[in-house]
Amino acid sequence: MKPNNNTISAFDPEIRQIEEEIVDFISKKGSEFTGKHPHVSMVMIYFYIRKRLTQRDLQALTGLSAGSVSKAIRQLIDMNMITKDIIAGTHTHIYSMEKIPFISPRFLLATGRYIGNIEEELKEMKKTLIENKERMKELEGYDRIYNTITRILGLIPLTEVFMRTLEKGLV
Amino acid sequence: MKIENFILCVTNIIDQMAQQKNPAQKLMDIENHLVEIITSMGKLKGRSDKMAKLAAYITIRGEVTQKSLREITGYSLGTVSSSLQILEKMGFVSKHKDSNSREYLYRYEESYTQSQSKSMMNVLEYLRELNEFLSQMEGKLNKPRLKGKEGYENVKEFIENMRRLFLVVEEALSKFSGQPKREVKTRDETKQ
Repeated sequence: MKPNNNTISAFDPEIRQIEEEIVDFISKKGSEFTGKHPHVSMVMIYFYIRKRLTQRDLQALTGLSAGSVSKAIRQLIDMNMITKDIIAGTHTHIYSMEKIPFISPRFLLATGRYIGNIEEELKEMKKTLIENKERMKELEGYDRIYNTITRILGLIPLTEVFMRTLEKGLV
Repeated sequence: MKIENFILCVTNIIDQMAQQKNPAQKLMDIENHLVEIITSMGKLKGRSDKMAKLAAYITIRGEVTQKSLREITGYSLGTVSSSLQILEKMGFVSKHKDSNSREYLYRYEESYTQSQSKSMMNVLEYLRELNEFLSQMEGKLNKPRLKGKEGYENVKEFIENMRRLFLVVEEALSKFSGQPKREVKTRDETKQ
């Protein structure tokens, strides 16, 4: 993969200021309403805007330490929002967000697979609880664990409908 | 009593104790696994590991105190306290005075994912604020001298994508919450 052109100096200073205002607003406000970690939000917004970045670019843009940037990147990879490549002829990694995740086939596929796995695991746990009901029902926590599993299983179809609505609205 | 009988008797008692302990251990294993699953779901939403784990315990236990959360997770008072503040603001938990002690009880809001819940209203409110903010940023960006400058297309595309995304999210959330979707106009439409 080719190197990027996303250093701070690459953007016009006035546009860079607008970019900073956007990142600041979303990472602070968004975290208050969604519980998203501010560092994760901040790094994610830079990917939305600049698409391809190295860890060094992100350190310069965000002012975060190498460790914090690396942690946020790892989480975004786990969230299937960005991918990792190597810049040709170097040992430097470059991370990319090619599309808005909600319309990226890779994101939708990975998220769908994740939800499917969770559903299977929860069903299995519920089955174990039902099979062992007589031995467990008097134990502290049996009801709340059973009810939590049932509640999450009830939410999974809604999540799928929500994802499909987003995908349909964005494509 | 013969030694063989004594050993048999002790073995039976141990077996009985093991059988009695087994369901509790099994239930604990299930709870731990459930915590792992809910934590991973929280991390997929971009929450930190600690915040996601605390939210997982609250979801399962229903009602907790700062002290009980510290005991279960081993997290510091600062981590537990700041995470609870955020979760309260999000409408994930509500804070109550415990009449039996000086501690506060944090209660999981069963309605968290349901329509008309505080959390759902909060997110809709946030999207509205964000949309207004992005309109302001669009205004700043659309100065003739900035057109074509380095980074202009990136920020322009971002604002357009986000406004599109938030409109779709707002619409999807409105469907679930039963709230009418607000009429959102773009800056150009407002001028007309």
